[in-house]
Amino acid sequence: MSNTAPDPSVLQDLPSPRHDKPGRRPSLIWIMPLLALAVSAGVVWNNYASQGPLITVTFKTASGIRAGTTEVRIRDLRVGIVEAVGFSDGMAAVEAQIRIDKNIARYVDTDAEFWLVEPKVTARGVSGIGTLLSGVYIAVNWDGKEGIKADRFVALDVPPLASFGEEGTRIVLRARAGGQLAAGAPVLTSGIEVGRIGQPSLSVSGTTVTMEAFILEPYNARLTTNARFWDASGLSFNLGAQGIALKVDSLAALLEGGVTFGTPVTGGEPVADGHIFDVFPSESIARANAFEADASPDITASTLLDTDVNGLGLDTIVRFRGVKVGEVSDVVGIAVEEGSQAPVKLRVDMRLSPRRLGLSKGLSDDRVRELLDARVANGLRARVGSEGLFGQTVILELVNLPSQAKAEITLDPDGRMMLPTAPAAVPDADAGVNGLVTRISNLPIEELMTAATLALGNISKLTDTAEGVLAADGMDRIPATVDQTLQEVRSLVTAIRDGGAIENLNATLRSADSALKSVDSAASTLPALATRLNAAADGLQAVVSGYDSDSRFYKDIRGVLRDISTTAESFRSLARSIERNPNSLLLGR
Amino acid sequence: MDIPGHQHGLITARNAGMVACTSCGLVVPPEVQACPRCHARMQSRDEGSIQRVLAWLIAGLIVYVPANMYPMLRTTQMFKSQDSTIVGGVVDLIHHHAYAIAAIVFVASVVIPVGKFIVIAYLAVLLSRPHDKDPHRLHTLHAAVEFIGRWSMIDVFVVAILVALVQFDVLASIKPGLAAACFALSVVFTMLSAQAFDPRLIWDITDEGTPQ
Amino acid sequence: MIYDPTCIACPQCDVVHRFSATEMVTRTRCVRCGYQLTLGKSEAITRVVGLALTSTILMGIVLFAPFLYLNAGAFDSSASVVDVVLGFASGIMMPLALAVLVFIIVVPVARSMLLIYALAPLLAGYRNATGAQSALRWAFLLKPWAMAEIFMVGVAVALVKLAGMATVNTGAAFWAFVLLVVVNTLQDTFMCRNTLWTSLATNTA
Repeated sequence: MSNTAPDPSVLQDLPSPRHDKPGRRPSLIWIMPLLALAVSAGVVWNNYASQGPLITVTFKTASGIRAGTTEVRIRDLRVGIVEAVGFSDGMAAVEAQIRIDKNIARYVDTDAEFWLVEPKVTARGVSGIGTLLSGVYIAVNWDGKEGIKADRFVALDVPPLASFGEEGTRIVLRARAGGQLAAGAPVLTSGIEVGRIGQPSLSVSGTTVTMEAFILEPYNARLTTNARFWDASGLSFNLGAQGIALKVDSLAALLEGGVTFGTPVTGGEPVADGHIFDVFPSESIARANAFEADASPDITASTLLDTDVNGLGLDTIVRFRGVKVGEVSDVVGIAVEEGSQAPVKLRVDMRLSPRRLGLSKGLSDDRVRELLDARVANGLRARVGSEGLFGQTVILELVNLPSQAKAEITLDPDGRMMLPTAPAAVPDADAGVNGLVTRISNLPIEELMTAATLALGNISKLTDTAEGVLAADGMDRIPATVDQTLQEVRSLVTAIRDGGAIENLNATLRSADSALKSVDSAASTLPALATRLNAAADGLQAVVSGYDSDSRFYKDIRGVLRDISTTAESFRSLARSIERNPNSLLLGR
Repeated sequence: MDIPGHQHGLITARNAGMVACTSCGLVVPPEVQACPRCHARMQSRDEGSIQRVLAWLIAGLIVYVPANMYPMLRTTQMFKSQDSTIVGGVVDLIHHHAYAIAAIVFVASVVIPVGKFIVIAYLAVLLSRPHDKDPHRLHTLHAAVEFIGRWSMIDVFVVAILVALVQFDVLASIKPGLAAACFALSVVFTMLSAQAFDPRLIWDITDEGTPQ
Repeated sequence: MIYDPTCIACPQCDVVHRFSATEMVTRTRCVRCGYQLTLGKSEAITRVVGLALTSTILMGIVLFAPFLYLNAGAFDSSASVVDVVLGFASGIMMPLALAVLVFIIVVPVARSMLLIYALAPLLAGYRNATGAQSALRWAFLLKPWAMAEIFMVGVAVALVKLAGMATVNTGAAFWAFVLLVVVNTLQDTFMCRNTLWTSLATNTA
């Protein structure tokens, strides 16, 4: 082409550009906002559709619960998240709004239980440590069956008794108020932990505490209707007829309380859920109650005692043939008019268990009286007894004494059944300190001394008289006879002296004296002994360190100490690895 | 016609005795206060421009000091805290072999701000007295500063995101440091400083040889 | 060199057309090959408005959907853009939170809203809204202060920093934000000052 300037005349008849047809379609650009709208709607709908339901759970405190962060977990798997935390109406409690995952929402029925899992250090160990790092979470438990839906819940204060999937038997325990049982305390048998106690609640009267207990499988097979429970809290220190017994069941039981059960009597049926057991204060009492099934109403009886009895009072045990059949419920002084030596007698009221006495259940009062009357006719009497190592425990005994004079049960003006009494049992004079003191006091020392003095006095009088006679006039005629008599008297005195009778007397006196002295010293060491025993019971350290190293208690302590040191060690190594590589925690490497 | 400021057949609104709207370009007589088309305030030249530039610049400079001294963020892992400053963060990234990201952060947080300070100061000083520099180059410089300035905010946003994401209680948590706020302020001030320039001044000097 | 501004050739097939003044500002095509020669004022405005609308809708997703998910071992955390803003909102850091909120969210949305306010009446054939000129002017003025794309780069840097120690997953808001940046950029390219101002000025409806 040439390089000449273009000829403007060429550009004369240029075409006009083409226009789009009128009524052109709207610009394609509008697809963009429409698309954006569609996507928005999709996102929002997806969010709502995949959302599970919202439930409200009420807690006492919001410790560590944070909106958007705190999760709800079952078996450590996340199934929901807290969306909001706020006060309930009236600011009385904290309400958490929780969004439950859709796929498990159907299990959240009225049986579902919620509780907060946070780090806890108890005598039973450390739990929930993971929550120190990950934050607290709310645990949930359900029975896996779909029941009535609910959307308002109150969280439990303590984790429920049985976790998801734990099988066992739930029973009810009744104990005297004032014990040391706390929720979560262990249930033991033969030294192994087989279950745990739930939250104790006080009865209306305030005298008993009722709580649920959960016995795990397979140990619940050992639980029969003949099982007896006793309080395993703390130590039990017993100074009884059998000697000294110190028992500690386990560390947890020591600190947190706990119950142990045993089966003193074989037989007995399996136990169903809800069976009620009493918790006895100690093992011995539990075993003593081994034969008691259902409590039938106690028989009340009374007896009049002549003698003063120190130590007889409320709760004094009534025994029949060595077995406890009841307790003394009252001791009252009664004035009895008709001629008797003691103007005031003691009326002792007793509560007796008919079963223990061998009477069947459900007998009427009259029938009971008839049966007892028959026994009394055969010699049943009530009397004061004593037991114990030093015979210091007073008991009331019901004994069969066929040799007694005939007697029968009488009714006093108030309708009480009065049992005839027998004299208190003579303590065994040969046995024990009592006997020794009695023997010593029985020695006729005084009489001996009086007789000896008299004899000596007589002898000296005799000698005086004899000398007087000799000194008198006209005595010469009979000097030989008198001399002879004198000689005989003298030889008698000598014989007496030589016979050692006086020495013997002296010796007897001396040994009695020393016997008394040793009794004295024995008596003076008793308080010291008691003090030592007290110190032993007080100083738990000393007791524990000397305790049998095979016991569960000792093992528990060792176990806890080991756990603590292992935990400390792992924390140390963790801290070290973090220092070396700060990302290791997040990475998990 | 030899009108002063007429260069290669070009004429400025000012020299034509008119005023041009900086917002929409309309040319109107000088008495008009507000642009009839876009209602912007009409200003032939912004007299206080250089002063405002310097004021904002100094403000930005002042705040830049604590931005480097204090930490940008504080990382707490298991009760151990670690502060990291701007430069410290770059060094950290280099240690982790993320060289590209380290370069980005370094450029955004160190090179650009410092560069801006220098360039704006240079322009301000230059334009307050007669100069003989090529106005094209100056103009490019100014445009570049205006454009680049906002990208320094990268580091502030990085801190913001890290703080938002890494909140794991004891295990690891990140908190913003004072430097983040100071650095953001510094960026804002220098942006305002660059915007305060009336770029027409660059060309005026060339046209007149003396400031108008 | 004298040239005729009314002559425009098709870049595809080189045919020269003559444009009248009105044809300059309407949508035209080449007579031979149909290639679009001019966009037209109307179309330009339409595009700006359309994109501004898209931008606003996307910002809705950005605000209310989760932005990023962090998973480090057993620990999960998720952050929405609001979380990012609030992360600073304590005491002395409050101005910073405010700044982040303004630059990422408020300014872009404001710009979109202003554009829609100023230009939508033109599309619908109504007269200018009151203050349309100020609205448009502010839409232009605020341009350097909309830092959405810088935020994205910041997110990228943060992701790299975290990638070493945790798994990071992106949420819906993340992608909405990416789209938002793209849409905003497109929107800005269609904002021809001259076209927009003359459109406003010549709106005789």
